Amino acid sequence: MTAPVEFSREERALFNPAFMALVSCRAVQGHQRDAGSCPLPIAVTAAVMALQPAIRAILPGTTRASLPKWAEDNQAVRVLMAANAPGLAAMVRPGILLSLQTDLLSLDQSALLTLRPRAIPATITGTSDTVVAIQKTAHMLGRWLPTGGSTATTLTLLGVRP
Amino acid sequence: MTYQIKSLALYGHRPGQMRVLALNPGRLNIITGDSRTGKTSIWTITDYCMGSSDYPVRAGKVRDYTSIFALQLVRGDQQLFIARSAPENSTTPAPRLCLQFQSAGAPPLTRDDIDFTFPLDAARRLLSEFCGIDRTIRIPAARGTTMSPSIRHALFFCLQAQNEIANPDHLFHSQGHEWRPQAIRDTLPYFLGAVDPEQAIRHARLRQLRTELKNVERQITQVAQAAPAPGQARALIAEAESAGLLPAPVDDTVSLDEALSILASVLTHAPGELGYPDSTDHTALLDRERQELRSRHQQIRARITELRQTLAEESSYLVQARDQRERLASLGLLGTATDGTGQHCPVCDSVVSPAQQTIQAIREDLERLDSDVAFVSDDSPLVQSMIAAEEEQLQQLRAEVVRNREQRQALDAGVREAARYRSQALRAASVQGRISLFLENAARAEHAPPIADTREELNREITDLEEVLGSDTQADRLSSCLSLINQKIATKARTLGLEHSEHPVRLDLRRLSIVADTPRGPVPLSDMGSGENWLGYHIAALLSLHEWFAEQGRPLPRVLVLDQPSQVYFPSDYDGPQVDLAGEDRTSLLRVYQAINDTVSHLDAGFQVIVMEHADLEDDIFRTAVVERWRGGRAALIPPAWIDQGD
Repeated sequence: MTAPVEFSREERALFNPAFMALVSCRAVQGHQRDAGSCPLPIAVTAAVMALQPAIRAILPGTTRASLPKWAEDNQAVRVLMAANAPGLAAMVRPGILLSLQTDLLSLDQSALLTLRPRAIPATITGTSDTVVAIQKTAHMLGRWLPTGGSTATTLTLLGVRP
Repeated sequence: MTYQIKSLALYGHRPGQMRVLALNPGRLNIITGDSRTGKTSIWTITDYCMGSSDYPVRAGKVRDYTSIFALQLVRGDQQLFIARSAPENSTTPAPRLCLQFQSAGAPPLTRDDIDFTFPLDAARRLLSEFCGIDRTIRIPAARGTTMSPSIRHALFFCLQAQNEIANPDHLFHSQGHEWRPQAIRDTLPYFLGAVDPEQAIRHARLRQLRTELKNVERQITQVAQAAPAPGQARALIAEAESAGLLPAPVDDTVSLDEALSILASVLTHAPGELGYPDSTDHTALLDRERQELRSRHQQIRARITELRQTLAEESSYLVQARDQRERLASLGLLGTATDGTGQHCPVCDSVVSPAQQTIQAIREDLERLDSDVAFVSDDSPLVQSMIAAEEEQLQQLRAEVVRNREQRQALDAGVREAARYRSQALRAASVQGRISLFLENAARAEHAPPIADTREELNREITDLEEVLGSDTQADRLSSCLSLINQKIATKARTLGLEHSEHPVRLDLRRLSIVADTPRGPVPLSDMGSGENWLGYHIAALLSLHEWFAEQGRPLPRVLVLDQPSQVYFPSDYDGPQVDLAGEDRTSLLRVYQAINDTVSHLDAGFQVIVMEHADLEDDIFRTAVVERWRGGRAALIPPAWIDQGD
């Protein structure tokens, strides 16, 4: 658990816990829409993926695409995740912590996250394109990642270890 | 109404030598015999007597012992006797033929009565007429020309030589020769009756109308050329102006008479002197000015670029800052429920910084960013206004440069004009000369009587005719004829028990072949196997065509000559005594003869088939049709007596 003070001002602003909380809440929101409450690793993975522009560019346009096939076709994903996941996960974690502390998300016995209703705005709006894109992607990943099978399978496909 | 062959006559070299081969019109005639008895000569002689341009009779006994070949053709109660002498040196065919009408039932003329008076063309024309071919019809042939059908074209469909009757590649007679396939394609529509005789007349009328139209147009243009053209007068006035012969510019809309008077005044005009302006200082000045303007222009451009860059940098920083601010502002979106003062992580109970502290940090960052953004966004309008001012200066400069260039051009033109003074005097003189010529012509132009302008009517008539002719009724009629004939062919193919006859079979005019449309794609005759199929489809196609010709009364000889259809059942080099067949081959061959006989009897004496055959079958259908049997050297086309005497 790292204190936010150790980062530069820019990083502190760009990956501030509030935004991270918002992004992970979006992922949980997307997950809840289709597949019920969200496992913690999935929420973290979705947020980490959504934060990377390179991955945002190659994601499929529809949630009906096959996750295994996509991961097979785009081997670059595994490389990108291996390179950036640790650092980004360190950024995402305080966000999830903040949302847990402020009761946006709640954690049950089996490490499943549920979003409190009306905790975040239902629609995604914003003046900055990047911010909107990140939130949309996180929401879509929350819906799409569970289609790949169990959590373990999904994480293996993406080359991430919880 | 058309003809059949009544008899074939040969005259030997000696007086009194005459061999008449009588044939039965309206029936199947079989001439059976051993090899080399002159069976094939029957069709070559027929071809030769019908006005062939070459000498088809093969070298051999027939060539050696015959001096004159003759045919007797029957049409109703008319009889035509054709004779043609064998070539002198056995290569160039005889240029003249003997054609004589006879009363019905008359024997061939005697040797002394034969009188070769018809040149080849005339003989062909008479034969075509005798056959009923309308020589006035022009068939649209390929390559945009037209041709008349003749008896020679009809023979494509009446003969089948030994190498054609079972040929997988060639369906019709002489299809293998150069340009023949095209001729067959062009003439078949006429023989099928798909060519409208009216059409030829219409085509002729159309051609006539077009020539008329051309004539009228030519006359009209001649008249127009003779009259003085106002356009020309105007052009000359413009030239006079540019040559400096006219004091004031003339309006474009002058009438012809006015124009003529103006031109007349030009002739009395003498070109004035042009001044020599001293313009060297001016050019130097202008050049210097231009240099200066250019350098200033470049400086301003550079300044503007710098300013724009500053602006762009600032705005990109603004975008970044805004992005960060937006992310920090996420805090406002979170509907926090508790104040989050808990010191413990809800997940693992470890000590963490309370949420309050985090939120506090975020708020501080936000404020700092906001002040930055305000500071930056303050001076961007200032930069914008500076750029605008510079741009304005640039515009002014551009206008200056343009003015400078225009001045320079005007000066240059003046200089050039001065230098060209001599040539201009010359040019003025030449213009004057042309004007005087034009005026003389105009004065001399007598007003010819006005030509009746019938172009409108002619054009209307031509378009009407083109519509009538262009609606391509011929293609329609042709395909309907062919589809009826295809049905006949398919029926016959089924009775002959041919391969692929269970599928639709059609006569393909483009390929000039029979094509069976199987589910696996079209199968042309050349792709089918077995000589039996080739023979069968040839027989089926030709019989069907002749049935059609007879039913429609088309002008072809009602004769089909087949040379050795049975060859496909014998080995190719077969030359033995056996003339009967056994088993499957025999049944197939009998089926062929049955089909021929059915067609002949169906057409009720309106169709004659002549078959030269090596085989000799015992069955009734064959035996009753045999007219000559040349076996064991006792008989042949050339009587053995001629040969003995010749030696």
